[in-house]
Amino acid sequence: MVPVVAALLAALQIPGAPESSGGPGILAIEGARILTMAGSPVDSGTVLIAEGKVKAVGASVEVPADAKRIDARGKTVIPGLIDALSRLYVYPEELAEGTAVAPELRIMDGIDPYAEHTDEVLRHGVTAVQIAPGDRSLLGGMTAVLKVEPQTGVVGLITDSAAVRGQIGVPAGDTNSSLARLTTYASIREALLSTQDYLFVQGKYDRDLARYDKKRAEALAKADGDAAKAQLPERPRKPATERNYAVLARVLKGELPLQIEAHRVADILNALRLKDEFAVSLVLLGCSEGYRIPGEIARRHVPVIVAPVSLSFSGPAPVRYGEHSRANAAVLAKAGVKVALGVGGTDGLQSKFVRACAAIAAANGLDRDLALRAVTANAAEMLGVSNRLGTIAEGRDADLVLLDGDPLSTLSTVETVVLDGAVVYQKGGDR
Amino acid sequence: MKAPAVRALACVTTALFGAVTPAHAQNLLVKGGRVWTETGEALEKADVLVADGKIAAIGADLTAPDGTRVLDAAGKWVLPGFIDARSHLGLARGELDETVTPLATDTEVLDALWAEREEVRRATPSGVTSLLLSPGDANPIAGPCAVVKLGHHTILKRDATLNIVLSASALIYDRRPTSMPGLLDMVRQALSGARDKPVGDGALVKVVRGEMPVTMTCDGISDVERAVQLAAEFHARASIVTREALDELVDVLPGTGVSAICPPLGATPAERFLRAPGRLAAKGVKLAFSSMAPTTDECDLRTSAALAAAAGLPHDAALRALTCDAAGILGVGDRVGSLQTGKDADLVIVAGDPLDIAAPIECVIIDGDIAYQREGT
Amino acid sequence: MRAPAVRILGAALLVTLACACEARTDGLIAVKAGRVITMRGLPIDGATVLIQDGKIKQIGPGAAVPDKATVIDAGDSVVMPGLVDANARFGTRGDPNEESDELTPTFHVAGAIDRDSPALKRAVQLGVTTLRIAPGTADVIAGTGVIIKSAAAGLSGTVVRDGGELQIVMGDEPTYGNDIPWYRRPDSFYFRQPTTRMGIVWLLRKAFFDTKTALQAGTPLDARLAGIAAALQGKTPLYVMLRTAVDIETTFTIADEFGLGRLVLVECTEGYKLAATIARRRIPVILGPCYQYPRTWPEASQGWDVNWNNAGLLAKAGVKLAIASNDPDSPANLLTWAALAARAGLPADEALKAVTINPAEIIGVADRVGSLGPGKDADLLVLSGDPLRPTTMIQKVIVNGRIAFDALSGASADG
Repeated sequence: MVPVVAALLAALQIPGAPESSGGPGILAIEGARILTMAGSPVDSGTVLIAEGKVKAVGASVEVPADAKRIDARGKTVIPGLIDALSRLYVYPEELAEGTAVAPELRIMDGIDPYAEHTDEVLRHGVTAVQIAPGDRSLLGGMTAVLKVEPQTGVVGLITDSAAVRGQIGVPAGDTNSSLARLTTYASIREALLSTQDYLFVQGKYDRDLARYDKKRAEALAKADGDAAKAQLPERPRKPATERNYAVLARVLKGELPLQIEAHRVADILNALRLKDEFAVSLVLLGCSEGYRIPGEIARRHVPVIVAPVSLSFSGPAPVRYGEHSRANAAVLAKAGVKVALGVGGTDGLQSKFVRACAAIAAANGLDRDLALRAVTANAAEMLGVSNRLGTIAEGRDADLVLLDGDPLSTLSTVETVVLDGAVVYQKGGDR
Repeated sequence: MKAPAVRALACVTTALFGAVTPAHAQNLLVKGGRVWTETGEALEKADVLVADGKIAAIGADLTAPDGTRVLDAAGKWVLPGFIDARSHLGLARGELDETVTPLATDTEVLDALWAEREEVRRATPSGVTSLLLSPGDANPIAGPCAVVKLGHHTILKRDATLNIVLSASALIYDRRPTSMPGLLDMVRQALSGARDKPVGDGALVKVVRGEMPVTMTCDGISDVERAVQLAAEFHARASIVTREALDELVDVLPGTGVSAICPPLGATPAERFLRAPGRLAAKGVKLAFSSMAPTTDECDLRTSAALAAAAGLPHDAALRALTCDAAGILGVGDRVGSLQTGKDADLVIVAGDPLDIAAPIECVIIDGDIAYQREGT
Repeated sequence: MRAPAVRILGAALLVTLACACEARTDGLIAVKAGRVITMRGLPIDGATVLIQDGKIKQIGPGAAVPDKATVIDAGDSVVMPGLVDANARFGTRGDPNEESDELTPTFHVAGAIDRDSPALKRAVQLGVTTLRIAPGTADVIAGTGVIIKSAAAGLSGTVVRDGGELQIVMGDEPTYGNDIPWYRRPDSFYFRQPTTRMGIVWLLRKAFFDTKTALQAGTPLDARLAGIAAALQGKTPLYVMLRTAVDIETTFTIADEFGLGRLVLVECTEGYKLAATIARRRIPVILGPCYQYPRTWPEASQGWDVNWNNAGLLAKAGVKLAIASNDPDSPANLLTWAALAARAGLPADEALKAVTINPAEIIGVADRVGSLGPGKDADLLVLSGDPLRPTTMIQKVIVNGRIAFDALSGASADG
């Protein structure tokens, strides 16, 4: 029966249905409005994909003869959406790690590759997520960025150390304990100061070692290479290597960003003071009351992942978010803060609501282009993965979403999702 | 407490509730918008005239008396204000249930309202104009619940519905009942008593006479089946509130006349839950949306409606669930839920299709007063 | 000639689709088996069981198979009636006791049925097609049970009979918790009788006495007393949950005192000690759970004398007995328990009766289940061999004419 059906479909020539949708071959999406998030939108153009990457995008792109073609006239193409704060693939137990300072832990060690219904998230156009250790710890560990894979059991890892995640005043916020909030900030500061000491000790060792090598060489030279006769200096003792300090050292040097979740004004200000004191590469996570102090955030050029955009997805716990406002992202953006959005829900499947979150932010004042950017290019930049995700440009991963209308409108539907150059979802198709 | 002091207290409470609809400053003319009616027909470029808190006229190119404030609705949608079928907005957080007596009938939830004005004020931009103020789920029977308006927080209908809870949340340790059969027994006895030996005009008596609808909170599908049986047995007008069994309601409700009140769909992301409203509507089950605020703190019904529509609930069915069908379920359809002359002037003006949540709400009018207007409009 | 070709193709498509749909309906099904154990007379070899609309139409070697029937060719398999669990304590959600009172005759465990219960799905896989869910054992007068099918569509399709018996509990389980531990408020409803066996008997006597008095005086009975009255007058059976011989004898004393003629003993661990008396009084017994050790509790605490051949000794004395799960929250592998009872001394054919026709007769649904014959419910098991052999596999479980479990495909129909 199947060949008959295929033949019928081919005869009817339904637009948009690819003849064959698998494999890392050459794919061309033609005739669409392309919002590349890297330069001006293309009103009607082509995206050429080969071996899982974007080869070319523009108004007139040469398409090889053997390419599979998708007729996308009347459709809009955007980069795959990114949920910057997701719980997809994470076991709920992994979020309760209670060790105060454990930056060397990696959330990748606690994922469930057999998480179910990830294809539901993919079908809503979300192709990548950032997952993070829980908020129980002060410095909980390193976050990871993953692709959303259509099949269970497959893990599409982009990076297992995107940032170190910390929090100030978050679970304490549920109980409104000011003493607890003070302690969290002090502990993070303490950890960073200890890292500075550690780096100092390491640095001193490095210098001592260099001096020792030099002196040893001199002594040997004096004794004509005879080690028994020479007056050799004492080798400096190597200090212990501490894994968590090694990680925080990278944070202090600005190599690894520090994502601090803070919602209330006092906690946000404390996080900003960390940047003042230690010159870390800070990203604010959550930042629910950021709209009250946008200037403070803007002048330090700190980017913000706003999450949850709306309490409709986060569920109960209004106390910890303080005076939450849906206009938060808009106010921050107007003050010049770079903004990304995260769903911030308690259920991994809520990552499918990324587009709705962008819509809510836009409805509450965020510029529409910025709203889309917040769930694509900006998110990729803040997560340090913009060399691969977040834009449609040559060399980037071919993660794309085709919609039948305005991407921000909840009336538009996702028709096709391309992941790593393969069509993983086609509305009305067999996937 | 001495009697005069009680009376004084009662006066203060009434004043807080604003039982009397306040006088209106001026008439309004909402001009040139796309007026949605519940039949699905939209009146393009129509005007709505509001006078004395009611809808005075709907039509093209209406003439308004002097002193009427004109709101330009060109290019915008004009709808009835949304109706939240279940909310705790304005109830103090620890005071959702009177748990000492399991059957808390005739315990008016209005008496626990201490109108946290801040919370209420923050809710007006959501487009919700009326909500059912409900106690929590810790008592097998609780109520009656009232329908109140946002804005000036007036009472639309005092004894609107009764809550019956057939879920484990009503099984509190060291208090009758400790088991579901015990709970059912209790509820059945209470309803039988009201039917066979009615005393006075209490909530239970109204329920068995079909004058007051009941909202039945359920856990699993078996609880829903028992709820439907109970409603049929006592000829009660019922609607079901459930989160766990939302996707299975379509196997039980069609043909029974029992409606469904959807929980906030943003919190139930699995596709089978998002598709449930569409499947129920296709089988003729009446729907309404609820926010369970302040759990979500935002009275956000639009997101639930948009998510349901994206998953298969037809556009007009979604808008009806937000407005006239919800009004019908709560028994206030004579006053609110649709734009008809004579009904309360509760309107929402949206800068686009209401189910496109990127389109901002421009203006919310409650009882003819502008309760919210977006900055810059 | 494109058009006619398309038409033919279309028709072929429709027929294929129609046939696919037919297999899913519970219309006509024919199960061809090597041997059919009907529990009504001798087994039939090489027979076909014809099922229509959830009922058995015909069984026989010569049963004609209509063309439209879906055929399940079970090859050499053995077909037997679905198992009947006469005293199950799973399939519910929440507390199976209304603990606010020790006398709860109006407690209908039907109100706690949870069709989504994973235990019910396990029960199907273990071959149990009908079960009587009993109320809990924390109250002296526990209430009424409900008889359901383990896999059926909707609540109305699931329930076979709600209630129809009254269960009381002898022994000491109802005494648990009735004390004032330091952490409980003194006005808690747990501060009450009974705390001893004599308290239990006192409460029972009082309840029966009050009911009898009200009946004699002709005063209208409230719901509570009405529930007890039916049992008192012998209109409905009285199920007694008990374990020790002492409790059995106490039960007989109360029965004689109040003229209680229709008794059923449940669990009855030490029943073998009074087998002759039980048989003489014509009291059926529902045994279970299966005790792994001859002595499960130290004598000081409970003193249950477990005898593995309890079933054999009772059967030998002439008692009608059933083997049930009677394990809180857990379905039992009844065929294995029947086999264990046979090993201990119960004749094999009696063991098979104890999980099929006997429990059906005891709980009063033998007109529908427990045996296979024209007009009976199409609840049957397809086994790979002798039911009591430990290596036999339950291949298929059919409830109301629909395949509820297929071991070889791993699929189970929902509902």
